[in-house]
Amino acid sequence: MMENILEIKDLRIYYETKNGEVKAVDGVDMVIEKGTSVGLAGESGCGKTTLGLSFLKLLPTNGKIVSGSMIFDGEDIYAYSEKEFREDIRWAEISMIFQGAMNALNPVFKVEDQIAEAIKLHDKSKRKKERIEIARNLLRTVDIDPTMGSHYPHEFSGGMRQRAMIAMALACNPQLVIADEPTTALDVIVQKQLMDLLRRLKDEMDLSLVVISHDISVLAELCDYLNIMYAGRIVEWAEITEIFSNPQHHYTHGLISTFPTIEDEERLEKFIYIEGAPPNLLNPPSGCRFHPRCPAATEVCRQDPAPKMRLIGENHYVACHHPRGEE
Amino acid sequence: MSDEAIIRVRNLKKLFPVRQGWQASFMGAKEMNLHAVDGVTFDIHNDQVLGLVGESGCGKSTLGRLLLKLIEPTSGEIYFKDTDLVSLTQEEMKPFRSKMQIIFQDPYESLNPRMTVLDLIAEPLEVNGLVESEEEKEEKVSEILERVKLSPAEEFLYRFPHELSGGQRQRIAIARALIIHPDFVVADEPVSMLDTSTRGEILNLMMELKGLTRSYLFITHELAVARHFCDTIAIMYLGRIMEMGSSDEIVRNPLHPYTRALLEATPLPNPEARKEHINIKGEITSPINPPNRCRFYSRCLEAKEICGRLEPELVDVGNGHFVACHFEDLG
Repeated sequence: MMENILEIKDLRIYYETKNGEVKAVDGVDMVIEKGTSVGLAGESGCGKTTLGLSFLKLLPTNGKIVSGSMIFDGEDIYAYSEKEFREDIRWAEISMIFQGAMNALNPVFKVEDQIAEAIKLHDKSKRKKERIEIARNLLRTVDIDPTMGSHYPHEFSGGMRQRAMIAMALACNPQLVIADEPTTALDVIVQKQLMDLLRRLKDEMDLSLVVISHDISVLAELCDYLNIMYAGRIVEWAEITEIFSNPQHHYTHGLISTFPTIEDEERLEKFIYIEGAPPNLLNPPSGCRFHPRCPAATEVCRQDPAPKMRLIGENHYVACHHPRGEE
Repeated sequence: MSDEAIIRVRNLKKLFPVRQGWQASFMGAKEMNLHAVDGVTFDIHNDQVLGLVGESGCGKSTLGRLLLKLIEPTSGEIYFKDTDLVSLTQEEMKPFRSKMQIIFQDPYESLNPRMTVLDLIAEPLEVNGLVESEEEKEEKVSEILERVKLSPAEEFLYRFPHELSGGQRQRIAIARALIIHPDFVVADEPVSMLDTSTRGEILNLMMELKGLTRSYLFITHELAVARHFCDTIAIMYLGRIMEMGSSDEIVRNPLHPYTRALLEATPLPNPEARKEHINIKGEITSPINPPNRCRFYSRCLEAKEICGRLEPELVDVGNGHFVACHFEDLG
């Protein structure tokens, strides 16, 4: 059994809004083994970004962690005070590549200064010259000419900015990096180059990665394990080839089938889709939250409590009363 | 496929002037233009779906807008059946407007939030004087609502866009484009804002409703979607068409190095088919005053000396397959 770098247990994050409580993350368990990359797939509004931000305790002010624990290297880091968390965990141990590199860099600072800033906050012993030197080395690591470090973000292309964001995430030698939609809004060729880079860095630096995306084909390229999230809950978890070849949850199966692929020999007569739309988390359906859209739903699926995650094969968990293998 | 071309485009160009400071112009700096669409030629036939595929900034949306004359071309010809649209004034364009429609990318922005579904869909009818009474209007709108599967129609007629989901809004946008039975519809990334689980539904709907129009220009950055939705695919790069052919041909027998790179870079929802590297270098170059050479020259691993001094023309290599590459036979 490999060592787990991070374990999440029964995490619940609710947002207070003027219309009521939004249960963005509602009872999530998750395990990340050291040195693996774990995908988190789901549609917009399923809570995947909230879950991603919770790794760094960066939730918006109206978001509250109602329950749950996050065990990092054997310690519950949710028990840390904000000061301890900021000094010992955030960026030093767990860092993040944010969605939308276009807006995540500060336009009025040179790129190398922005990277050096992150180092300064966690290691006061280094002099400015040293910090800039580290920043330039990081830029080289992500395939950017280190002399570009003295330029401003607007002089970088979209792909380069995203690389600079990756360099910044690596600034303090973290063990775990969260990448939230790292390639969304980039062109396919740039996307491909970035995925190759992330894979290479993961191996070279022995990182653990959590990749959040709505695009399961990106996750198929990048990840060792895949979590499927639907309406605030994880509904299936398995090793990547297993989940694609043998999806057990009807949502997972639907999601994988909806992706058209250039691999097909013939043109599709019809595109596949899942009936209906994802639920509003202000007022989610009872029981299994996928039941209104599920082809196999029965009476038991409509009733609380919702199905629990259970082992269905080797390293394969599903939260469904009627998984596809048991029909 | 009938041979009657609905749209014929010949050497179409759109150059956007780039603003320079007064000092630059005082010093006699050369005029700078962004070549968004730079010499594009193709036909769209009756019953054909032409897919226009390219990366952001390649000029595909500009081209879509040019065809409808939402922006004026710099030079070139656009024929709708036998009429050259370029020479027409906006006033003279009016009768043609009812024959050509557009579906925009973002259904959260393309629908007026203060209009009801009924008014939104009826607007093209009213503008073109195709309805005479309120009853007729409501009847026609109800009919198309049922066809775009927003049923029962009465439930949707008096709703506002904010009460609808993204998929439902895009159906309104489709109904609005198709209610006047246009001959030609430009669909500019119609599903890229939608959730993956619901996109198929919208694409299927557009297919089913092909009876209400005669041809589509389908603009997308996703080759996988174009491969299944379109009869013909044109691959665009920096304002030029690099390769064009039936969607089977483009996917199975790509000739241009750029098309091959795009195909290799497209991620597959299949972890067992991971590919390690792709045959392309660098990033997209600037579309401002491009030199006379292959637009793909600086990124192409197979570039030779001639590619750096002469821009290849789009040539027919047989089987309805066109390619703009000096070394297309090496494919």
